[in-house]
Amino acid sequence: MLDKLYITPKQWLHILRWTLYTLLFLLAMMMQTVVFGNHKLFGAHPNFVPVVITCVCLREGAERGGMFALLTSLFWCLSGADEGSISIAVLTVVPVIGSVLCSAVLANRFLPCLAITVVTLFTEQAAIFLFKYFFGTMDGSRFLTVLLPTVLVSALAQPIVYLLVKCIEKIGDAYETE
Amino acid sequence: MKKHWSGRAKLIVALALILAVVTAITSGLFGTTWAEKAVQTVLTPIRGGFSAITRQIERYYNYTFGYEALEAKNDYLERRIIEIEDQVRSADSLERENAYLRELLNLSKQHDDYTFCDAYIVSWDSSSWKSTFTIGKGTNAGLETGMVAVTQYGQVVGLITEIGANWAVVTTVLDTSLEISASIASSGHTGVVQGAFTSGDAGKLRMIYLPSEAVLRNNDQVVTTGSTVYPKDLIIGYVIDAGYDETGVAKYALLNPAADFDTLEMVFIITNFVSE
Repeated sequence: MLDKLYITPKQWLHILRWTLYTLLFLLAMMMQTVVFGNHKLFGAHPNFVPVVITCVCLREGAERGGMFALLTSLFWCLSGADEGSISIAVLTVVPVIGSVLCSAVLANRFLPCLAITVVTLFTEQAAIFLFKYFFGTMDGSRFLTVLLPTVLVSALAQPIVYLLVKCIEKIGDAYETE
Repeated sequence: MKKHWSGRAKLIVALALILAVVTAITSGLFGTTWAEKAVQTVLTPIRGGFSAITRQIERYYNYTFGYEALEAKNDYLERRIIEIEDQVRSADSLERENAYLRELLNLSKQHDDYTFCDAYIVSWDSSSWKSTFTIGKGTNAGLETGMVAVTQYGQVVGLITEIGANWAVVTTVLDTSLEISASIASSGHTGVVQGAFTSGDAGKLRMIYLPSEAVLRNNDQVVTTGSTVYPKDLIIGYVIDAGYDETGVAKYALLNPAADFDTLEMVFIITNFVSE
């Protein structure tokens, strides 16, 4: 019984890795809602959460990364995000499909990751825009003045997030190659 | 491609779609669910801590670059302007009410009945599509949905739209979903104020349903008409532009909000007042 409770060094490193991913997600969430919540960059609110979710999903693969994307997007939705339920669908489905594409067709490197992050951000923002547009609370001109700047400003964070995720991903690598 | 598209990945995608539909339906049917309340309750202390750290860093930064003195001076001047404007508004209102109601109300004493609850803003909605923020107090401090949030100068900031034990979401007057009954202080014409947030005039307010005979002047003050949840004569904004709406029957006015949302750190919730 007690043998089963023993955590191997490899398992400890896995726990550390996923804890760090979670902290990175929380940091992005706090930066987005607290630090930049009332401040705009180039006329748009940066959207860091999709960047972190996409980077982790692409680096960890469609299964483990997909599960991370599902849980974090659910948490993000429940935390009162404006995107609501759209975020669960978009922030899980797009990164998972991106991850499959990366492993099958593209290389799992910086540029494909940047491209898929931009696609995720664009899909999420476009979904909210269309939803509000068709329900009559959104002016069509906001597509250019809000949606595109939001996507571009948010994508600026991708290189830093990508580097951090890449560093965290290396934790426990030595055991996996054994 | 097929070998990379595993059963588990498909399951995750299916789960995500199901969860999205379920959360959309439950929030549509029941409003704020227990799961949302639990997550918000857990997040509020973290946001509060992060917010306090951010404020300290901002203060240190401002101090370092010598803006603090300018801020104090600006704050003093802003207070003076508000005092003078308050006197002018009181005079305008009194003049009108004198004509109709023969000194029914003494506006200089009208705020004595308010009970305030102060609260720090712990986070802003980060979306470019709406304007709400979360404060670090909730039902534990006696707050309720529908209560009005104002600045220290009595300028309307917004209304509480969601609430938990230690948090509350305030939807600002800039948001299009919020509609507040208001009147022009100098003329008494009434209308409805809503955010122009999504109509290309971000950061501005729109006063609609004004009668076509309403005479609107630049810098006319717009105040609340009062209701069961918020008091009368709280200042909402100033007229900066006006015109006829699409129907050509009613007028609208574009307003500058009275509250300065860029520097807002703390709000005061009016928890009790004597309605007239």
